[in-house]
Amino acid sequence: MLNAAGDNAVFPATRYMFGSFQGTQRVYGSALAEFAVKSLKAKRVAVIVHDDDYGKANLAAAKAVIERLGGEVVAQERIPPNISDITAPVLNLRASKPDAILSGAYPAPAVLLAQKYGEFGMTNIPLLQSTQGMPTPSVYAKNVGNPDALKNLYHTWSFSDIANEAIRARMVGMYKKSFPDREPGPFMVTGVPSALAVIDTLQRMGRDLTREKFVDAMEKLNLTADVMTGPLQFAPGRRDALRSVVVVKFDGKTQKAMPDIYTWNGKDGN
Amino acid sequence: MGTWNLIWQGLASGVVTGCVYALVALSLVIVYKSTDVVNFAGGELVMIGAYIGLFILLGLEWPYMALFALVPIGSFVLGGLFTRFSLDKVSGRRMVKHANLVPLVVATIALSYLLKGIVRVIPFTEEVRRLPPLMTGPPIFLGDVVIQQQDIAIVLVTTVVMVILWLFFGYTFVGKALRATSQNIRAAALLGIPVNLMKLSVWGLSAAIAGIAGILLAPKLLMTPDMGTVVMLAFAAAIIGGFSSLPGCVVGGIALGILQNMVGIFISPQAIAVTPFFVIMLVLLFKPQGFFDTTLAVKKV
Repeated sequence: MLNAAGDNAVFPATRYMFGSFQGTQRVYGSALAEFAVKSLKAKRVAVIVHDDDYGKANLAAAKAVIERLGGEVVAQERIPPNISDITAPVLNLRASKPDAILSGAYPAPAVLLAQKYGEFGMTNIPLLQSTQGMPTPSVYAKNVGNPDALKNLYHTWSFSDIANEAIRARMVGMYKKSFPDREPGPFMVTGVPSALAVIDTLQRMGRDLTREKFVDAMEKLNLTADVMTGPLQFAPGRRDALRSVVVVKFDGKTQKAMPDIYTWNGKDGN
Repeated sequence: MGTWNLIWQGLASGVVTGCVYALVALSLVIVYKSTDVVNFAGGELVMIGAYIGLFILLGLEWPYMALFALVPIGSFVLGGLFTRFSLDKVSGRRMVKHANLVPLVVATIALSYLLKGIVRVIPFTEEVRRLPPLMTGPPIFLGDVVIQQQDIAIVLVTTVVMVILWLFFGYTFVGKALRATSQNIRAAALLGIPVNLMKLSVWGLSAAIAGIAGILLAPKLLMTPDMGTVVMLAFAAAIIGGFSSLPGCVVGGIALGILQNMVGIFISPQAIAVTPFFVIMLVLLFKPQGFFDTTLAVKKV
């Protein structure tokens, strides 16, 4: 069971690997691309991702959606995950004169990107960040350290806790009940959907538990949980659980979920 | 944005990051010149300096300027302790230049893992952190070229540190004693220079410089226990300079900062990470003594 995006683990689907309970990079890339073109009316979109399998999947999905919706990818910057100076890629993004910037960067480069984006006065261009770049939005905002850089920032999110504070409180409460001496870390919430999937599968199976029967039952998962932005589903040829995410506007203090839910069609970028 | 603006912006940003690479390179070269030991813990000393700074700012809530006094002192003590309780033991308290270098280098690798491990087990370091900018305020625009006040501060601090080092090595008794020890440790000992104390001072000074580099880097590169990987860039800078030239590693650091940006702009951002290694290979292949090494090579025939 994989909690992370894990595109390279769930594509192609294999029998014993289930994962991507918060969505794959394909889901994030396509959601941000659709939001940029449809809601922000962006025609020229610049994309910055890492030069690894996750970045490749994010970029492929984003590009497919942008082109399908009539937009144009005007810059594709692939950066190493351990990049220490992001000046050059950000200059390239700026030179492409985009209407929106999509980022699939991890936490540290995502902060560097937002800092440079702010420093170079690009804040009139919406910056759209995939989930993995800001696991804890408040920490991200603190690290960026420039409120101006956050005034046009959006990010994907897989949980309903932003629109419904009671859900967040419930998840934190469950965690504190099991671990009273610990504070929930930034990725605490990511364990919830996989746990829900296992519970649902076990309940459907009853007492007759074998490994193969568990896999068969997990393969039939179709669980709608109020904590998630979409159903958790598997199928014989599908091992990525979540394909629907929301886009959230974050100004450094408040988070506001945008009205639509964005669902990857299972084809874009594949 | 025109090509020339890209170039100018790349140059300006490259000088700033290059200054910090140069500082880390200086910390490596000072140790190498004095002891022949390549310090693989140089990056982790940068990281420790940054975290000490963060603790002073957030834990003690002392002003930013206190960092520039306390971080070098803390780092100096760390470097001194490492020499006293590790290198001295490993070398059997012999004059380092006469000791087997391999165990000493391995000791620096051990130190790097030790420091990283210690920082990792502190819960506070689980998340990426950042020091606030050294200076805040509106950026300066030169045409389309943007220069942050923080960048100007970084260049100024780096310059001040370099000038202090130059004055220290050139005009103070201790500095001259350190140079004498690095040039001929036996002769220095015969002249009454306390070479073991000099050795301890060199490692302490190197750690202090690395600590200052940590303060300058932490607002720009973010803080993680792995931020010490910046040492590879410092190695490249030092190798350009010849690994024994202090002005050389300064020029090397700045050249590398600029080169990285130019590679990112005109070739590919993916190539940025390999640039230092490519530079190291090229220099070792075509000019292994670097561009600033003035050391005479003596061959036995």
